[in-house]
Amino acid sequence: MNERELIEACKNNDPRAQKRLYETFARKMMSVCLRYAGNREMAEDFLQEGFIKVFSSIQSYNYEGSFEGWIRRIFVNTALESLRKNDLLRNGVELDTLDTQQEVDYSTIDRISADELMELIAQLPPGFRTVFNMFAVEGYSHKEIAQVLHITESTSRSQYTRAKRVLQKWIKELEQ
Amino acid sequence: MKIDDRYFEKSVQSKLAEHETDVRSDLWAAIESQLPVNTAIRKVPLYRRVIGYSAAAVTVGIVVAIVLWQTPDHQLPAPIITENDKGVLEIVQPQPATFHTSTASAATSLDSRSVSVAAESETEVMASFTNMPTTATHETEAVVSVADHMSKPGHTARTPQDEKTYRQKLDEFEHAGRNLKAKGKIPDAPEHSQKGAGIQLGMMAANASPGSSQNSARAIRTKIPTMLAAQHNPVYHFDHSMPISAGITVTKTLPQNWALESGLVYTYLYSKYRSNNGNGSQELHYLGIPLNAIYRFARIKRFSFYAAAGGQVDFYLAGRQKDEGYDEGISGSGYKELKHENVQFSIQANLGAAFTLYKQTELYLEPYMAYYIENNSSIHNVWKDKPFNFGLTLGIRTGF
Repeated sequence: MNERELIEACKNNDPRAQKRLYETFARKMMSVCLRYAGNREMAEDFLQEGFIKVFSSIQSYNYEGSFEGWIRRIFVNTALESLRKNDLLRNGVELDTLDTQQEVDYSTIDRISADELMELIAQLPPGFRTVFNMFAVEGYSHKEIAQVLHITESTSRSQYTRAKRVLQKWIKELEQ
Repeated sequence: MKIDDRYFEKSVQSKLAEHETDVRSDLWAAIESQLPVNTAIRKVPLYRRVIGYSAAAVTVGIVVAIVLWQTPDHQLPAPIITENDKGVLEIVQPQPATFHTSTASAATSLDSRSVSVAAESETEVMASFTNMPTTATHETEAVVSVADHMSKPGHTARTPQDEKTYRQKLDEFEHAGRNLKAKGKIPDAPEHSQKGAGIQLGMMAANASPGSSQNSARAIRTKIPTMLAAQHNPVYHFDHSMPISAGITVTKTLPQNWALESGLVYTYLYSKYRSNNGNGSQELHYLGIPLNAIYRFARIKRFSFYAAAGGQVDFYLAGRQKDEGYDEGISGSGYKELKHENVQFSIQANLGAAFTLYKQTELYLEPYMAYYIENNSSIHNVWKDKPFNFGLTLGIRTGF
């Protein structure tokens, strides 16, 4: 069964196809959810809610763009919606104490694994983490981020820069 | 943007774009339980299913009624003549006058005691001819053979041997007649004189005992995913209320105190469930067709007592669950229509007592026990959690 047949079967609510689609994307989407949630429990909530949205709205997928990209957007939107609904995007912890003028050695990113990077991202405060994920990983512009998160573009830029510097600092600490 | 910035972002993207994380193995079950059901099955609306089940039930009822209607209450008398007797013995319907003459003739050669016996026998014989029992037994054959013997032409000239044989057969006949009377096969009044077609219609209502059980979250189909996600593997405790049934029955009276009963029975099941992340209730509706064989074993004045055994098939009509969550700031409530319920078979046995109110109208009370066979349905109800159940039926039936 190729991807198109799988999608068509899911549009017909075929339980076997639904399970197969879940098995195909669950681990990857769990990674997306974990990046936004910061902990496994909330990530599982996002994953569950996201797959229900995928199956309930799969009729609207018209094969424009990649299917994985369509699914990923659903999971990102699900996570953002939930974070916003639960007022988790406000940063309870400020990162102002960091020296933002310090020199950044971006090559440090090459020296850590993906799992280590995931763990460091999870330690960021929710607001910084969300902006970082949207900009650095998903490729949103600061303008789009500002619209989605109801913040200004400058706030988005500022939070991203700070998040990046903090991560760089933590990576160095990890190496020591 | 500096080149270093772009390099950093590309590095992050390349590391995380294909990154995967392990997923809890039971998460799919929680997701699956909340997915919409297969549209192919959902295409059949409820009203069509109700109509379909009702039409099937009515068809079955009509067929059973026609078959029973066409079945004679009495079996035809068993053949008296065997193959060996063909051409030798001709059966002649005894005429009362002839019969009387032959009996009287025989009585003249007997003493006074014999005369009284013969007179009594005459009465028995006449009773036997007017009240032939339902089934032909060896006793009835004996009766007829005596009658034949006495009505045979030329039988008046008897030898002592003939008289001895005659007296022996007369005694046998008398004994057989008494046996028949003792067994109730020769009622004082015709048994079915007021029965008509032997069809009875009734209305009934029944209650069975409630139950409770613990089940996994699979039994809950909620629209609120956070209810299930909030706690891993929640266990729900079901409290099933007393099932309530009501229906109409049709009973066909059969020979020898037997009867066959069927009908349509609606059943309502209500349950409540609770766990540490949500409460809710469940309503289920069924339409059943029972089929029971009934045997009346005693009649005392206006009371009669009977035992019944049989089975019932219940068709799922509709059902829904109402969730009420109260989980840490994530609460809500919603209805979920339940689908895909399988047919439920059960076997049951009753003991009944009926009180005749007027003519053939009687009030009855039946304690029963039933066993509900596992039907692999995903919906939990009292039949699944407590398959062996006791109940009480109250009803009224009347005959035509």
